[in-house]
Amino acid sequence: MALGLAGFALMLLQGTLGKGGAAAHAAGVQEISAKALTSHGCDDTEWHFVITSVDSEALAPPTIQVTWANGASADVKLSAFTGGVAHYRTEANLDSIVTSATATIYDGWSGQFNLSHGPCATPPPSSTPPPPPSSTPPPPSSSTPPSTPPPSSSTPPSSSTPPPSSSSAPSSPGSASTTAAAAAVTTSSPPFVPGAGQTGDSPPSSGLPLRTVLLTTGLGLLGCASVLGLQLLRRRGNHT
Amino acid sequence: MASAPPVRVTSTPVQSHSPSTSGSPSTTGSLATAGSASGNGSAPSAKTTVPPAADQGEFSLVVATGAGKISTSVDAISVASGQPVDPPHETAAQWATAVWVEQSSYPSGWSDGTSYVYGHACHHHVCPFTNLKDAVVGDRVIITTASSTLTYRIGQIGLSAKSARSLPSWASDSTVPDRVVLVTCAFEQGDTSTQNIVVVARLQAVRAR
Repeated sequence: MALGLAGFALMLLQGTLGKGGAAAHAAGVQEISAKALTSHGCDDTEWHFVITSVDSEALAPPTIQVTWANGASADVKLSAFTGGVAHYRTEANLDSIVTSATATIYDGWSGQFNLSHGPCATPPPSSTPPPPPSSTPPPPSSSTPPSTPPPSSSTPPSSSTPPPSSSSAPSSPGSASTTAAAAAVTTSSPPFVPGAGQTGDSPPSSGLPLRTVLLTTGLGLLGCASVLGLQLLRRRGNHT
Repeated sequence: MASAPPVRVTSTPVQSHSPSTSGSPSTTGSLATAGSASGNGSAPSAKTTVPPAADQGEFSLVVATGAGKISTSVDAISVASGQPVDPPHETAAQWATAVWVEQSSYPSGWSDGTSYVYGHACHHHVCPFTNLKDAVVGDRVIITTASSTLTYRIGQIGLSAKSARSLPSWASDSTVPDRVVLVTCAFEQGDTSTQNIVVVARLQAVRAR
């Protein structure tokens, strides 16, 4: 009984939170996460997200929540709506990578929520790799969070939004694509490390004793056969 | 013979490292002398380009020691970085053949790294590097590939524990150009061998064939 009252009170409390709360979910909305975070087009000038198959502009989420690998996060406003596609653009944190983007949209929506394009850590696949790594990653600056959260599009970091920073290290681990990008940036594999040589030998272990045993056995059998044969001949001689 | 991970040996041409050739005119047939073969990792100052090897297959190796010549053919072997190298020894021919690690640079005129050659030293078989213990600093190592004859001079000889993950630092940097490192077993007493003999030789001259 007491538990039921507490639950009812909690529902009332959540009802006052407005959109984004659990009550909003109960009212027929869903939370969605952007895909293609690691396979987007390359454009160094902006981050551009799209939500497709939106029934009308009024139903398009007014903002999406974007989180970057440098710890920053921001609400990105709807910038355009064309042909059932909602567009969201931002020029923040172009030197980082997006680790997650979420939005709340009406229940029943079944389109795509993608990162259309944005800065790429590596040049396009068709271009040649950069020369050998001569530049080391910049030292950790004060604007770079001490530890970057692991890649996850469903669990954005809870840090508050810092001001856009251009000095943060872009190479902080953020997602699988970051790892791949870092590997591509550092280019070739490490040089070969020569190991020790197992280059000695030992006496053939089983060959010599086996040969000796077989030889001895053969000689023994030959001797026995000779003795037996000789005795047989002597007996025949006695009879004749 | 310690157990080692299986290795692949191939006598077919391999394409691991291509010799670095500059754009300068080649001097086919001429004897080129390295400018600075003693510096650690320093490339010769006046490089004379020799046409790159037509392939990177088997080559021959001769170590001219005071006690005599060590002569062997060298096959290719593929070994993971940091792993012990156990040249094949199933047949008498394999016992008698050294191996070049194809993950390292192929011996060539002005290579882009160090070539590593491993060979057995034996008490009970005919093996290529049994007498490598007789080599001294200053002895020549002559490698003959399909395209050139390379003359190296031994600059350093030392021992390295077989238990180590890599050769000593003075021999393990595979990025040092224009040198060859020979590795074999050192016998302490009887057939006991816990160390390697490591011979480092630097390129002195290249003659195109």
